Amino acid sequence: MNPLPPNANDLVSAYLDGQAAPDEVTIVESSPELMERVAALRSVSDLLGAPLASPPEQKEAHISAALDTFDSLLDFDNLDEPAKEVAPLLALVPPATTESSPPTEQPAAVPSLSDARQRRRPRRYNSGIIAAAAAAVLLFVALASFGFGGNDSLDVAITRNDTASSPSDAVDDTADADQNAAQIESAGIMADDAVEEEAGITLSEAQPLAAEAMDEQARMDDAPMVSDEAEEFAADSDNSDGDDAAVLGAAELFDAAPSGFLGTFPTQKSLLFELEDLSIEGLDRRIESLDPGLVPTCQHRAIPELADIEVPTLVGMAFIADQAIEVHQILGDNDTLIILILDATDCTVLPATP
Amino acid sequence: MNGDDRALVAQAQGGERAALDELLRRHYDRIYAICRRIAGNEADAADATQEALMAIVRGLAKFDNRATFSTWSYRVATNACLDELRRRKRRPTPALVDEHDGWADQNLDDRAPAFDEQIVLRDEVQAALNQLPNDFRMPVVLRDCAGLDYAEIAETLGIPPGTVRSRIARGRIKLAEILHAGNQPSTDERQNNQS
Repeated sequence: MNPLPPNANDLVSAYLDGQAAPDEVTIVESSPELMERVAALRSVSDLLGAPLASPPEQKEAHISAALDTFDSLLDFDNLDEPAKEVAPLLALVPPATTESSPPTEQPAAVPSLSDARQRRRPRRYNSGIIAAAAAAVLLFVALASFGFGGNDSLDVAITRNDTASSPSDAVDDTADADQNAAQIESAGIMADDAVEEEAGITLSEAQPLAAEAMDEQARMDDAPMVSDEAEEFAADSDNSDGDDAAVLGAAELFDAAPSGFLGTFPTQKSLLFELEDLSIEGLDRRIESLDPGLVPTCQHRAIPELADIEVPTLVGMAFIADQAIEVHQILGDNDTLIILILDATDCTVLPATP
Repeated sequence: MNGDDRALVAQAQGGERAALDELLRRHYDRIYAICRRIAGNEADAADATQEALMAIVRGLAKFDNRATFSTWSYRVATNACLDELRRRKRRPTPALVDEHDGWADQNLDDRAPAFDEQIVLRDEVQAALNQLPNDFRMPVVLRDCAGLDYAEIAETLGIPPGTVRSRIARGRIKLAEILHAGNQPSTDERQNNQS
């Protein structure tokens, strides 16, 4: 009897799946022992592949809910796009080919205007964050001129300005965003000037500028999307897997921030506003990337709220006004997402404030 | 089936509710089986199945027939199940050190079944599957329940095809061992039989 190859299990399993190379097939089929293993694995595979019956009432409820969603999507699309009545869900998808036709590379589906608009919405938060960051830059520079001195304040102020300018690249693809980016850029230049002069702006001057930036952001959020923005999103669609590109804006922005640092926020509400727009996946990426097993956090200090949770919860660190905080996320009853804001110095849970 | 699916997909994309209903009914059992095998318990499987159907409906407009509908929908279902697992990871659970002999020392991903899954394990295969770490369970389920090929599994899980191949092999071997051991009579049973 020939000795079995060292990768016998791989060979047998791949053979079972029809994924073995021709020479591997020869090896397996020439060995009675390997063929016995194939039979054993096939029985396991068959057990796993056996259909599992779900409760009939559950099946009906699930399908009914899915069809309701379908109806609401149709309603939404029809309200949004009266011209698409003939093919309300997918006007521009290539027609289905027959099974006998050779496989050809299909052009990417073009999303409807409502799809493009749906994808557009989260991007506004990019510029929202930019506006907040710009406000933070201005406030920080002003605070620096009061409370701090020397090179330290200069270093930190430049860091915040870098954070503010980087995301502006992400939104320079629309006229509205261009306008906002220009404003942010000018605010950044002003901040740079202020840093260079070290006392070039006062708090009273910074606040109106910050407020102006926020007002501009609010106007931009309310503005309707122009039609050619749909083309912009149609151009980059390669989404047959249902990927949620809409969440990338906020996630990328947070990823661009210094590791673990979410930013400086004037209030809890403004911080929560940004967090709310991250998907579960986005928050997961952040939590996993922080690896709190290496970075001591409040989770390691046995506070009651986090004591029983064995998986990382740290979303990041931030400043709210001048208070250093840690942001943790846990799941409550019914999978409710709960954001805990902790004082980073003593790990007490901060009460919710406006 | 695939040809019929294509026609139904086209009709559903055109807004025909009945076509979507038929599509979902055709594939519901398989989608549920995938979610059940991945999630490991009824409650999470039910949630994941519902999420999967919603995701299929929402993504139908973007489905372009480059894959078969079944393959695409099973991948959507898999992603819904992965989301469900992620949610479960962040759900606070009591430590299990005393009752379960050191389980709390393991990575949560590797600890299967989880706390609430311990109550009843009616399905022997599911019980065996639950003992596999996620890294091995996922490829095996995607192959044997969903029927995805190695390339599709690699794409779905974000790992190289060679890794998929070896994990499926190791997962199956481990499953076979667990099931075989489960079918062996216990020491007490053997002693009773001998006497």
